Amino acid sequence: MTMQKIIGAREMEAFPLYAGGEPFGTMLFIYRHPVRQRNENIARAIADDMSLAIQRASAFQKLKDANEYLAQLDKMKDEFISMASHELNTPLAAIEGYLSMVLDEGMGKVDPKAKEYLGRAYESSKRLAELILDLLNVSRIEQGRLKVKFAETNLVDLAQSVIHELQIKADSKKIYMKLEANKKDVPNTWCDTDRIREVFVNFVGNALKFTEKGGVTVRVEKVDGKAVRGTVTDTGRGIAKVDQKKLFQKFSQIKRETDEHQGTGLGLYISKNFVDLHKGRVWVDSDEGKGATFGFEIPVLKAAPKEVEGAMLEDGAPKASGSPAATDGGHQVPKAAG
Amino acid sequence: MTDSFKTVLLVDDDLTLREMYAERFKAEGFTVDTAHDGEDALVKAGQDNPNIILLDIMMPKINGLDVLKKLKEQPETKDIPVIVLTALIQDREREEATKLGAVDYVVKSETMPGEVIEKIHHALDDTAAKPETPAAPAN
Repeated sequence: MTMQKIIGAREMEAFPLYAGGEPFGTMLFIYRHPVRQRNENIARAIADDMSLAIQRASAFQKLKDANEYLAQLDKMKDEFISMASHELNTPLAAIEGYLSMVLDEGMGKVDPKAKEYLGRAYESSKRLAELILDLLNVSRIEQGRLKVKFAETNLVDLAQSVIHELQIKADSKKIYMKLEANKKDVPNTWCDTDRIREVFVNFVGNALKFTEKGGVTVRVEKVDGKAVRGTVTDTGRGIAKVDQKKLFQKFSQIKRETDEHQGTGLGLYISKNFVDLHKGRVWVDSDEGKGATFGFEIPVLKAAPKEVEGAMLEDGAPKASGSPAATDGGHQVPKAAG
Repeated sequence: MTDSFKTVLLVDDDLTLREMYAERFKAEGFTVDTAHDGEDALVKAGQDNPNIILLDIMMPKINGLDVLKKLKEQPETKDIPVIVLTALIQDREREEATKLGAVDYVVKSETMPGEVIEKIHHALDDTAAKPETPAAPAN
């Protein structure tokens, strides 16, 4: 045998390598000197150990591949959400934009009847925009891909800014809106400012929607030094006890006799999830016909948490400089030129 | 309007939106220049010397954030105010754009063309109020 000559082997021994009872290779022992006493058991033991090692290495490689695949899939999901948002919002922006151009009469006078109809079309497209935003949020929440960023926040300031933003709605319904809070008594806390703001916007927005007489009171207070609480109380028609349990579920819109109040039915579900991420709680307190109070409580934090269960925590500190495109490919997905 | 006859460079890959904004801006008295992707935007920003740029993010070839970065690096375009006008609602892009020097970040479906006009006037006023930007330190 030529190989024998080349390597100068005097004796050879071969042992099969097994995986799960099936042979998958051979282990060759080559002796360049005559073997005085052959120990087959040692050679066999080495071959068995080798079998095991190879199997483990291959299983590890498979696991690694699977992990990479999953990570890739995750990134694709992220990109899909980002793309979906972009693709849905672009035509919507054109619809709303053109309608608003007609409606604000910047381009010329409009027939009153046409204006009324186009106004309704505009309102509907606004609702569609809201729905897209809500669905996107729900999809992120359920995939655990919501990005959260903590910053030191004062809930009194936050409530104040939400009231300011929604004042126009209260004015148009001729109902009052007021804030009852003592900023000195409410400690700053680390939270995702934008998300908690959304919770306030949702609670106050709902309260305004369902209140025809009276008004809305927002309260912010400290709870035994460990938590901060925000509540929104309205003087609206209230919610029956049986319906209260369903409120924070997905797509829970309680059917009302006069159903002029359209919404996505996702707002409270999203709010609850936002508060859950802060390890807080939400609740509702109401008697039918006597108004309602929606509240949330989050623990006071002195710094951003290390991690947030069910979400992706983003660092509040500025990212290291570098090509912004290199940080992620999310907005680099090529699309057909328009 | 003191901003009349000023040139707006409108960068968007969506034809409908480009036509819509262009029409509204012209009605306001602006001269409108358009670009349909990032590459086109960089060429036109350098050539046409616009007073302000409205920049989309999700575009073929070069995305808006990269365009913004390049605009701010080139001495002939670095002082042109840039308003990002996008369909992206994520905070990530908003932050990135602000960090790169955009004067405003406007979400298309939340901001109507009339409001975009106000933002343009606002940005132009701000730029006019500032004295000529001193030459950047050499390095």
